[in-house]
Amino acid sequence: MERLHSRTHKRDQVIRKLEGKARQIRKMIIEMIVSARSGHLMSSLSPVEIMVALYYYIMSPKDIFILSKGHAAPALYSILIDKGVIPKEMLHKLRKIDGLEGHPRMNIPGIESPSGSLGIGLAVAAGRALGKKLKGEDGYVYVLVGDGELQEGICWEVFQFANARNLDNLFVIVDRNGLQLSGPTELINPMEPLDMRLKAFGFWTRTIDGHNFEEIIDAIERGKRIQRPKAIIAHTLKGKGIQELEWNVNGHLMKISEIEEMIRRYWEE
Amino acid sequence: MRDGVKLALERLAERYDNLVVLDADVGFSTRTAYYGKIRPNMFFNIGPMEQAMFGIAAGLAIEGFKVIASTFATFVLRGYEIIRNSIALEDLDVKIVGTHAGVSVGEDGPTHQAIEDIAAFYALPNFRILSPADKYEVVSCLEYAIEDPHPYYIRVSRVSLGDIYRGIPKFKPCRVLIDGSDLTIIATGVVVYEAVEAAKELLNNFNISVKVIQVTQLKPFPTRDVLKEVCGEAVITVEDHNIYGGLASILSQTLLSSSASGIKIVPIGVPDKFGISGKSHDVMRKFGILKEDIIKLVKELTKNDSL
Repeated sequence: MERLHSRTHKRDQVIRKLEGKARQIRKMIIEMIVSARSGHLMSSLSPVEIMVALYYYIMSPKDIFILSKGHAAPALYSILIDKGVIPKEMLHKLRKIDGLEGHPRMNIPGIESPSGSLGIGLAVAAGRALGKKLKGEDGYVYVLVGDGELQEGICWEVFQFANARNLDNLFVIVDRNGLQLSGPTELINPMEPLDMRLKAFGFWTRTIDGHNFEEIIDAIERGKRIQRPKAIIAHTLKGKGIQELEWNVNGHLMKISEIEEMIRRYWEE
Repeated sequence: MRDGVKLALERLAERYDNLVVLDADVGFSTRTAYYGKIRPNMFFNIGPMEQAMFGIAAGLAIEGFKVIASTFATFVLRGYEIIRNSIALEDLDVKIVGTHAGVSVGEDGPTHQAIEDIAAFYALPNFRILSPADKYEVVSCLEYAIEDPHPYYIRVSRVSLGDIYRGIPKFKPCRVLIDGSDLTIIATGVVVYEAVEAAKELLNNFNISVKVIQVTQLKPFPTRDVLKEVCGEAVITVEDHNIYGGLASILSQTLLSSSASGIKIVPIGVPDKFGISGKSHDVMRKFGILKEDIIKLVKELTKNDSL
């Protein structure tokens, strides 16, 4: 009883730390995008817990992470800056000449695939997963895709490939925030039942609350026990962290000045 | 000409133990399937999923493999944006072999006859383009490309009208195949053979001395070597490709920006139309890219000092 208690206590401590880190990363993302006066704020905020869980708890040096949802680059850049992989001064140089590219490029330290064009990071992830298997290397390839991104046909080609080759070192995580560039996903291309679609393509699939560290960690640990390619559908809120932006379809059309006003109020709370 | 792919892969398999070959369900036509017999664990027919294939190729290259990804040239273009936003963008070590290039494909018809692939790859930064003339040159092109850790597009025809070389030649970006003085023919790919045969006939039967230059490396274009050899007052380009965006366009741009800008260029190629079904030779005749067409044009250009 006592051992269980201390294990839960330890886990709780870890989760508190990760939640604190998520708040910190969100602040960095906001600062980065406001500095740039350009960038995808809402899309960068929704996958923060997933990426923090991966970078600060789950991943070992043998694993790699690919941000196929490349427009969330500020989230990845912020984490890499926090870890000292990207120089600190780049926080204010997003999308500027001689600064950080708007979408990930491989000449930026810590970036494992180019992305920005939907579906390409996912295909590269599958290629790298295959490559690791051919070399007999351990380690997982974690790849984050958007739900709008899953409307690109290439994604389903990659899933067929992963199934055919049983790429069980591939973890696909879907940032299911329900919104794409021009509106809600279900009004443009209904994607439900998404879990059934992925299962039909041969993926072990789990659906979770994408802002709950407990669920993220648990799903990945379970997935590792399965010898098949894995998919985690993480339900998230676009703009998570800034109340007025959460699930605001027009969030990305707001002027930076309007967002700045919102952020100022958020920070002061 | 595509048999050169088989020969090349057999040789490359001996030299490289980290070469992966990707195919999109056409391996028996492109001859890449033979690699699967020699190195079954390094050959992947992923099915007709061209977009995924090129992204997967990029991933494998990032992991340190030598990668050849091949399908019909028209279907390579289905993956063009993927190629552009991964392989070209990041200057990755991937060799793309587009087979069945040109109208010489014949029976399958226009959906399978790429007449725009050179144009597509010419405008992509970081890509090199090779266009071998026979099966032996396919081998030297692939062996040359594999050694250079950058993206290559290698264009191969389905058929061969005749061999230019008697064995595997040393790789050269361009070569003077026949010396001459009245006029220059610059040719690339499967129709180089037609240019050579035309030049021989023009000299023997009509006493017209035509120089034939073969260009194998279309990008980067060997400007200095070509300009050095150009002679006479007209250049005829010959290619199994649209006259727009291929050899004729590349050469025109090159000559225009040089001191040789006064030279007249007359292109022989597919006249900005899609191909048709038919026997390979018949289709090529229909589009005017055979020996007879070259001879006719040379005679027109040289008669009555019309130059």
